[in-house]
Amino acid sequence: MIEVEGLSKHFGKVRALESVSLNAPDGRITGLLGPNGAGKSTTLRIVSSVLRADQGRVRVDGIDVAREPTRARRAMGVLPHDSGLYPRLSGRENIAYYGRLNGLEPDWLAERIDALVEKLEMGEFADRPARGYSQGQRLKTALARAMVHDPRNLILDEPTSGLDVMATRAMRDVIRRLRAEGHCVLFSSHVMQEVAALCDSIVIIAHGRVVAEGSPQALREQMGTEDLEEAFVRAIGPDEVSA
Amino acid sequence: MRALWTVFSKECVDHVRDRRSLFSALLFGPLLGPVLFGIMMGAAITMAADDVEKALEVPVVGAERAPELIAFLRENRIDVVEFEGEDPRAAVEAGEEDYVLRVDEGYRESFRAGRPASIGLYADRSRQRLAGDLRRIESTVNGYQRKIGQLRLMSRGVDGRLMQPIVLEEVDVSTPEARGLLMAGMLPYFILLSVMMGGFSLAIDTTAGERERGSLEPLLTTAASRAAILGGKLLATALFCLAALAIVLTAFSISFRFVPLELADMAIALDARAAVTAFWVVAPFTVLGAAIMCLVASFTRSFKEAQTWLSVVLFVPILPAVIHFIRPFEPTLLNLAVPVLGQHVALLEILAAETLSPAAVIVNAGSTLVLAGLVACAAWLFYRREGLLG
Repeated sequence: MIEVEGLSKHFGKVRALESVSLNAPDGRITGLLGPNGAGKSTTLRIVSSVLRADQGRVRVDGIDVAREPTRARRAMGVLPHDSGLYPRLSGRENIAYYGRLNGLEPDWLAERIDALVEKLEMGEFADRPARGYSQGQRLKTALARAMVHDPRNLILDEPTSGLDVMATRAMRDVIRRLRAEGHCVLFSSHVMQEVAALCDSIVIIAHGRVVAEGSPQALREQMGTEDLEEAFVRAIGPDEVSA
Repeated sequence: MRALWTVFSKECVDHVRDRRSLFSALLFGPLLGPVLFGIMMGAAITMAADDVEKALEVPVVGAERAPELIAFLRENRIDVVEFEGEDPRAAVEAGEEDYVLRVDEGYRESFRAGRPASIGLYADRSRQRLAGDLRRIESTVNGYQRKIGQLRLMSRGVDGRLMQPIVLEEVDVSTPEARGLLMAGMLPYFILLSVMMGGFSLAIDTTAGERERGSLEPLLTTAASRAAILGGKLLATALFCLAALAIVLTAFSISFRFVPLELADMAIALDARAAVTAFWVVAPFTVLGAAIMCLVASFTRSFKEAQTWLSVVLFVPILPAVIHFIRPFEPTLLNLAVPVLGQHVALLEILAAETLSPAAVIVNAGSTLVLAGLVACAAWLFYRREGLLG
């Protein structure tokens, strides 16, 4: 479970986030939706403890991320936007590196990697160097790497950007399965259809503020339109459309 | 500690698989210096030795006017040939001849009368290659002049030694090893440079490269602390620096065996034992070098930007060489206590077969490691910045 309360963040004079709050419960997929530059990645980076907020706090399974970053990191798996692999290591070695960094014991680590390779259908390429991976294979490996220590909470920043149709579908299946296993999934996207297809609840963010939130159905009602895309456009305000 | 070890071993494995940069870091870099050095020194010494023995051929205008001088030149292995052109000056200017000796028309008359008889030597003094030949011609002519001067005094009943009130006896107490240093003075620079180059690509790849590939952010979300991540990368860099050091010292000590230093009455004391001493003396520098490179890599945003910092990094081993050139320093404890400069001085001492006091070695290692620690702290502060992610 991820609880975000009143996050504010400045980069120099630029105000990136203004009092952003959201809740991502276990067993649910929570989507962070917004145009490019709205503050989605900044929010997720604060949640994953690589950035510090000026104000507000984040709790992951009740652990304060700013106060106990190491403990909080053990409770979450993070897939940053455009995350890269080590090209000279195989998929398995890439995953094992993160397992060891997260303090997993060697015996258990080997078992865990086998399970992940099977779960994400990586058998065919997991032992090859990552240099020659396709975008989809890279993403699967990066996801396995984020999940190697079996965290309850998963933070995925634009996990389907750059994927073809089949790979996008496979990724959605994986995310749904994670929900079924009881994980808390918080993911960001700027694609309306994606969020609509997957999420149990949606948080729309624009100019660093939360402008609307709720289930897809609730959002439609709130914005007074049956078309979810239209609801999105109304929520983020007219100047975003012209921009 | 465990995370540090994990990062360290992963970086080592990863880098060993990077054949191209491994080749340049551990083979091309450390071997180029010794091979070039061996060839250049060998050639210089052999040529110098040949020059002394080989007869010099000098074109002369008007040789028939000074038969005694010509005979003296021939006795001293200078082959006199007739100059065949018109104008000796023009011939030298045009590069047809390297030098021409001219005996003036009034030579015989002046010589007989006991007045200074003039001869001319045409040469282009800006041509380095001829410097040795010209010195030989001049000193032979001077020798003839001294001999005639003494004979003239003797014939007038004067002891020729009156012309020589003082005899300066030069006693060279330098050892062949110390003389060898004249040639090997650049060696410490080559060694320190190879050490830095050995770890450069790894240092850059592990921070700036990691950021460029997008693997840095996920790495920072693992349970490993940033200090452990930086420490592992720094130690891996230092290990490759250390490997480069071992290779460059081995290569130098082998290449010197093929240089005929004894021909020039020189020696360079880099046998296996001295090489091992040199290894231990320079070893602390590998940590400092690694820390400096990790610092550079921690604030540059891409591989390319980091490479533009290469010149700054390479300035570190050059600096003591430059200082030494401007104002040669003695191996005092104070000099040895200055990191980098100290390694430079200590290497020169080892090459000159001098012994280093254990205190000096300890002070040198201590100060270097302290500075390495400070630089590593600076790198760690950069690692903690939010801007690290770029």
